[in-house]
Amino acid sequence: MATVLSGNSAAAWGFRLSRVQCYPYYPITPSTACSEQIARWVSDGALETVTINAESEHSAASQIIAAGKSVRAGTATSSKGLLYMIEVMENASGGSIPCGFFIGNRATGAPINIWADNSDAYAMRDSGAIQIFTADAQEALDGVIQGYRIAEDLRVRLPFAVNLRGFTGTHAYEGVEIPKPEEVDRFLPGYVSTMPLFAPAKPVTYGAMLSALPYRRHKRNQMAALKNAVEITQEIGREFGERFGRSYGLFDWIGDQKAKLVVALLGESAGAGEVVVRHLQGKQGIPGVALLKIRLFSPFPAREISRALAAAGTKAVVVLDEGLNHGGVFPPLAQRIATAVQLHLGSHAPKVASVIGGLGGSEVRQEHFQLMFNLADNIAEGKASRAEPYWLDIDEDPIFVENENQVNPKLWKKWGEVWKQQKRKEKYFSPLPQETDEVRIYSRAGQGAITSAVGFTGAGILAGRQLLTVPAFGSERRGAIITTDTLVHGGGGQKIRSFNRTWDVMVLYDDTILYSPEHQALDGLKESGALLINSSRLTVKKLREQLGAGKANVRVFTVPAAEIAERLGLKHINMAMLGALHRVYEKIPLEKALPYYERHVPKPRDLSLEAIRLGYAECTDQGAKKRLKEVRLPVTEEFLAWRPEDHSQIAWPSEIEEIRAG
Amino acid sequence: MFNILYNRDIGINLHSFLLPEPVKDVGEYGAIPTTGLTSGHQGCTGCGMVTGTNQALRALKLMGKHVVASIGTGCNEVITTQNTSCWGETSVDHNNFPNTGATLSGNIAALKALSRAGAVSPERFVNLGIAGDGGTYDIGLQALLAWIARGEDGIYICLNNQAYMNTGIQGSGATPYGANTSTTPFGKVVHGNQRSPQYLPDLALAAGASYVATACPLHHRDLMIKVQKAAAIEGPCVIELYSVCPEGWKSETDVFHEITELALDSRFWVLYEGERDRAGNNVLFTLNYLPKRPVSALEYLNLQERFSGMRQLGDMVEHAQALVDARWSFWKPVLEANGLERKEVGYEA
Repeated sequence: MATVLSGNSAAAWGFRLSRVQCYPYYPITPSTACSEQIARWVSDGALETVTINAESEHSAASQIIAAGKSVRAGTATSSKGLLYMIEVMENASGGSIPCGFFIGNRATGAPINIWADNSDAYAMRDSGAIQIFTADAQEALDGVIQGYRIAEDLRVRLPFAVNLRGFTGTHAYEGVEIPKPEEVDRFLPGYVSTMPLFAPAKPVTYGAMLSALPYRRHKRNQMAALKNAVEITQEIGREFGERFGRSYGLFDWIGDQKAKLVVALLGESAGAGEVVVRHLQGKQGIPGVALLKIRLFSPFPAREISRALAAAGTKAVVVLDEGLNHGGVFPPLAQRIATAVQLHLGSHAPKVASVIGGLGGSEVRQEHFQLMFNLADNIAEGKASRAEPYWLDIDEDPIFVENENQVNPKLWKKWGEVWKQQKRKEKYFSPLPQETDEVRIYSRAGQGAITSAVGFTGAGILAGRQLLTVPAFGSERRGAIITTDTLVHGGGGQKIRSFNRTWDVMVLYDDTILYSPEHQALDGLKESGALLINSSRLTVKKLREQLGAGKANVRVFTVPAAEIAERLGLKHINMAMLGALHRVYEKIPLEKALPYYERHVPKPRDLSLEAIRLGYAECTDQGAKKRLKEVRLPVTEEFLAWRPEDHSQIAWPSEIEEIRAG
Repeated sequence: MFNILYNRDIGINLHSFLLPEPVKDVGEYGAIPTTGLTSGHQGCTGCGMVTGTNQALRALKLMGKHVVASIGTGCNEVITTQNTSCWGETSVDHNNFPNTGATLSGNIAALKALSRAGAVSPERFVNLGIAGDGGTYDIGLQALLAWIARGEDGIYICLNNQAYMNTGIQGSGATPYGANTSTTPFGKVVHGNQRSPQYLPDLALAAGASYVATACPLHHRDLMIKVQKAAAIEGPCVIELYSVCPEGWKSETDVFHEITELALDSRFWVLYEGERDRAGNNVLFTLNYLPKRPVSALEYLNLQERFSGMRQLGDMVEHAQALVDARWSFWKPVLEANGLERKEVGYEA
């Protein structure tokens, strides 16, 4: 039975099931929630870990490196926090300390940016640690457990880092299988330090100073131990599969066995790529395609990846890097792949092109993969490509240019010849079938939208479907407009974690959001979609006006969620909205969801459940015009008191038709 | 803030109101052979730091403790671990320069986890942090103060030789006023180190240390008793050791004894301790050494060539004297309670 967890919570479960004995932490977005979860368990007595409230990442890293000499230790960090840890990181690898890091990957400023890319992981790649990239919460949980097995193997004994993309990975809520503790104990026995500090009979000195001869031998041995991790990662991934039913290797080959065209990448962005690969496979005129989702980044499995590419007869590899190698030729992943195929395959090596994308929270969307497979096709045909990286979504420097006037003359002078050869092929851009239903909630920060969406996710999973919820995250003030997106698709089979960004259901927790000129809340709503709005005062006429002529078929639902919450004495409207959502989205019926809510809704449980029922019952399909009376909770007043993002001086209160009871 | 209480008695102090029993004097243990650092270390002739480390380690070993030393990068680490280890039966964790406090914390957490698991008995061990003044006053201050603030049980010893000696005598936060170092050179315009040093016991008490003390290897009984107290007292304990450095201070290698005596008699280095009574929010201060023949600052400066420039300048010497006098005035209530009044030479009742 799957449990709904965020990526951060899943990593925390990984540490918990690994029975980590020392966990120092220092907060940094987006991995903080992992440490918060551990701290919560320790405070509640659910976990016996010795936690340390460190005053910096530097100290947190120093602490796990110190403690890791005697006991199993771990911590989580991101971005600059990881960069701050790097100073001590080599003390762990140089000292053979098998401690664990969970990293919520995030950009490293300046300019400051709290969103995802791999810059932090790339910055630590010369620190001598094992680096595993995971693509979802389940992989993160499993990765932490396997990480300790790999790191503590006597042939390795090195620190490890499990990477998960910030927000779309760390903050995405999805169904995760939590292994049974006793089964994990059998898989991962207790850590035995080979050179413990607390052993009076056998004193040791860590971190001694070595001169050139012993130093170079030590470093050579250290490199050899890291290299051993390739084989051991494979062994342990296989054993994990035998025990828990989920096998892991060095990389995933998703798509055709004989793929002429390959797109290689690390981590979570593969979700969108999988959808595109499945769509392109077997299409007329398209050679075999595959996605090479690399799990083990350090030590880089150069030989194994080269062999896989050779076996498939791959002609072109386009490598997506979500990070840079300043001043280098190719960014880190592309550079590793290009070097690997040259060294291992020589003249039989496939051509390699590099693309930089996904920086600072930029989404890597399905169309980007279409573009990359198109690029790979061109290169495979022998068309010239750049000997430096391409960029995704940079208007003045696109991958394909149809005519010269489209770009800056200086760029044309430099790349004109390459651009002339690179052609966009429409066969790669046929529209993708939509296999998922997508629900977007617009709410104000503090209204509890994430709580309700996570509840909906859990209920949906119980009802036999696959769900994924990704809340937007930023430097949001209370009362700011935020989005929470949920993806629903049929049970079983392939997990999908890529949004089309066209919404089947749009939920507005606050009717004033309609009037925010900065959000255009109804824009992505499908014509066949539904709009659910918490309002006791907007007429259907007004709502229809907002939707415009193009969305005449959109079904409109209203629910007096504020009134329901007030009637029940609840502070939040989210449970009533949750009930109403089941009325609108009938594919997850309320009866099937209730057993989940009975166990998981916020306290007081009975009132929350009542709010769900009332929300469901009082949700009105506004085909029939119905006058509603206005009720404003104090909390709503509070929200309304905030200035919305309304810089255009629209006198929005007059836009709302207020219909008073009476 | 805390209230300041004074111990009226001056001198070596076996008692602590934080401990049910006084600690043993060194002689009371009888003839127990112990070692500090083993032979082969690469310390300079006349180095005060090695002696101080030896005495601290022996004090803890006499108590029957296994020492787990978290050491910061610096002279003390470099001269004792090159290609081999001179730490004998001590377990040593050298992590880095800025993180001695954090390393100490990690090892304390490991000990806690191990004793929870029933793998070791915690009373058998003592967690000892050792770093230099650069690693304490400057780059390691954040980690140290955070370790103190977390209230973990351990000892932190700062081997204060008043500059970055390992990297070639650069000025640190503990370098005395007017000293000539390679980053505070005595020039025609700027005359050596222009700032006055910070004081570790002050910083540690402000952060919440249970016990602070200053000591010097010359008074080894006093030093060892203080280390033993620190091991017995619950919570973070900080001891600062006066560490003569002939290389950095530009002094002769055979005047270790004389320099220390002059430091004490000129009151450039005051031997004292402070114990925190958390319930009453008091700190009880004890003066452990009363100069028998108080001397002027100039006499102390005379033996060390790092002060050769500033001691020619009357106003700088005066300023150095003023700094010493201001700090010594803290002890006025103790001197008065003992009917002692300071004269030009010596004390009179």
